[in-house]
Amino acid sequence: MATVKLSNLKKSFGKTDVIHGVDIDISDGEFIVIVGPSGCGKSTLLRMVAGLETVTSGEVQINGAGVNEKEPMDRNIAMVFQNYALYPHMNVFDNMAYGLKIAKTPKAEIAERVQSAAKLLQLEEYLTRKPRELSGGQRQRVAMGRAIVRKPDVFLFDEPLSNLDAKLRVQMRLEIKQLQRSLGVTSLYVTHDQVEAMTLADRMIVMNGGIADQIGAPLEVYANPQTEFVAGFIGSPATNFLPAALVSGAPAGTTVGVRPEHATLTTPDHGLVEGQVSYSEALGSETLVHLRLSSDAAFTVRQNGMEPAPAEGHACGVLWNSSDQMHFGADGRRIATP
Amino acid sequence: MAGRDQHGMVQKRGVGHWFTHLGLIIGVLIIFFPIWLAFVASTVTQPEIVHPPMPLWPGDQFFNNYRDALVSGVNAPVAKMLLNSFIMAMGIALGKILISLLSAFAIVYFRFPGRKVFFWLIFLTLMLPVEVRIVPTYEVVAGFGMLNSYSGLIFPLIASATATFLFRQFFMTVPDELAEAARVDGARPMRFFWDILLPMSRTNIAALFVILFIYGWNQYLWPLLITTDPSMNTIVMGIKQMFPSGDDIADWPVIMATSILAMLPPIIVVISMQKLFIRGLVDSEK
Repeated sequence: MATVKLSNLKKSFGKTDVIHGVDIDISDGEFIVIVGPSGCGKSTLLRMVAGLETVTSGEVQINGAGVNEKEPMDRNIAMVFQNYALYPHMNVFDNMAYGLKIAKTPKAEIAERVQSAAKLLQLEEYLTRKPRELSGGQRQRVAMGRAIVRKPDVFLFDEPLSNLDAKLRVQMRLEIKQLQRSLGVTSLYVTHDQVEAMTLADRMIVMNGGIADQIGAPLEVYANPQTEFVAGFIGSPATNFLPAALVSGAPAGTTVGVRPEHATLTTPDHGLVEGQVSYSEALGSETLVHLRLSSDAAFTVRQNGMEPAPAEGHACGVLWNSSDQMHFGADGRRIATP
Repeated sequence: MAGRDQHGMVQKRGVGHWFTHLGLIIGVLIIFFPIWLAFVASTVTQPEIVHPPMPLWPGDQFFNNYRDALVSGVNAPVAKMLLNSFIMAMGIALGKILISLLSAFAIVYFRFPGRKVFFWLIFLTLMLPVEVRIVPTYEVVAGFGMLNSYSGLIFPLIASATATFLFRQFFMTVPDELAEAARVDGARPMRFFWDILLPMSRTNIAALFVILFIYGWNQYLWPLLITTDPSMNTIVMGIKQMFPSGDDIADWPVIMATSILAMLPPIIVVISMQKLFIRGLVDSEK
């Protein structure tokens, strides 16, 4: 049970600045997802909280106490790594018990804690197996078990699901969420997958080039992206961006953003913009219609799978509610619509 | 038709097998024959050896000759020389492994000033085998008063660039996340070394132990230089010392018995560690 506070946290490797100052107050039991494209500094941020990476400036606080100078083991955190990082020569029990053994926990208590974690994760029958005898999902569970048995203040997840196949990923995502709920442990979770971010997070941090572009609840971030980057990164398919000149009534010099699900097709000459269908992807429940606008910009419209999809080369107009239209300034920041 | 074709192929392969086996058997016989002769010579009497033709089948002096060799030998009892060799070979093998494990650990997992320089310095010593630096090394060992001692036999040979390099390469294949996981689990560096790195390297250690034990056992020039006291002779050089100088008569049965005895420990080491040895060379278990 813990709060975590990052104050103006910065990191540079040599002369390269990787993190440009991140601030966030994480309350007890909150699930925070750090999401962003590769190279945005999200893993570095997590590793600074873990103590695996030194802090260049700013401060990490856990439970109100600064931990910048503390070793990982003294921060009472547990981390789940992308490649699980299980000790290959130890069986599942020893893998989970290793941290407790080092902490000189009494044997009976180690056995009890490992057993209860194994029960929680349905690993009881695998306790004597070596990691190489387990499937990917089971290894993932062992890595989680190793984190749970230590009863840490904070869980740190570094892209824990990226090595699993799509189906297992969905299942483990759910399990992680349920586990975190029932244990109530404050968690930081790094991913590049926006679906994971949307489904897991109480609040998410969208990172872009070492800057926290936006921090907020997933639906809030989705509905009200503060920057052009966030609007493009969160939501799939990505938001359409058009120069203001193409859209009548848009403030000059801005970029207009329209989400594919907010746009509808209409007959030619009746839309806000005009274009030709270049191809459409029917996904069953929905159809993505890709258009080439008359200005040569690309535009995607998402429509219900039940609606008829227009043929390739078909000319049509695109309509949307002006309230769904977003404006971004030259610096990429959102401009409040008048 | 198909059946007959298959049959033909099997037969053809069968003939090929026979030739392969024949070749191998002839090769083994050629290599094994001198060893067989040595064994035969160690079981007969002196006159039987020096009067041609040399016997090709073992005689009845097996126990006498081996007892003579082990208990009294020529200059020193062979039992004592075997012990000396064993201590030297074990000291060199284990010492080399321990030192190179630790130095590889330092080079791979710690950032300290001059890390690269140290690595290349170690690597450079690959180019300086015992024979090249033998005179200065002798000077140093003599200066420390280590002539005719186990430490004098072991220490100058104990640093190993090859083993350091091998362990460095192995440690670099161990994922960084493992070290980080151990750090989060609360393992300090040496704890990580003993609990995680060492067990993971066990097949490499076994493979290296076999190679280094034989390397230590076969040392000839260095023991020859620094042991003047027959009771400190190692067996490989001791055999040479048994050869007569001038008009003395060589006690061939005892010398041959000694040769056979000198071959046994490396054979035992190789056979007993064969499984681990091969796994260490072939596997890359992560």
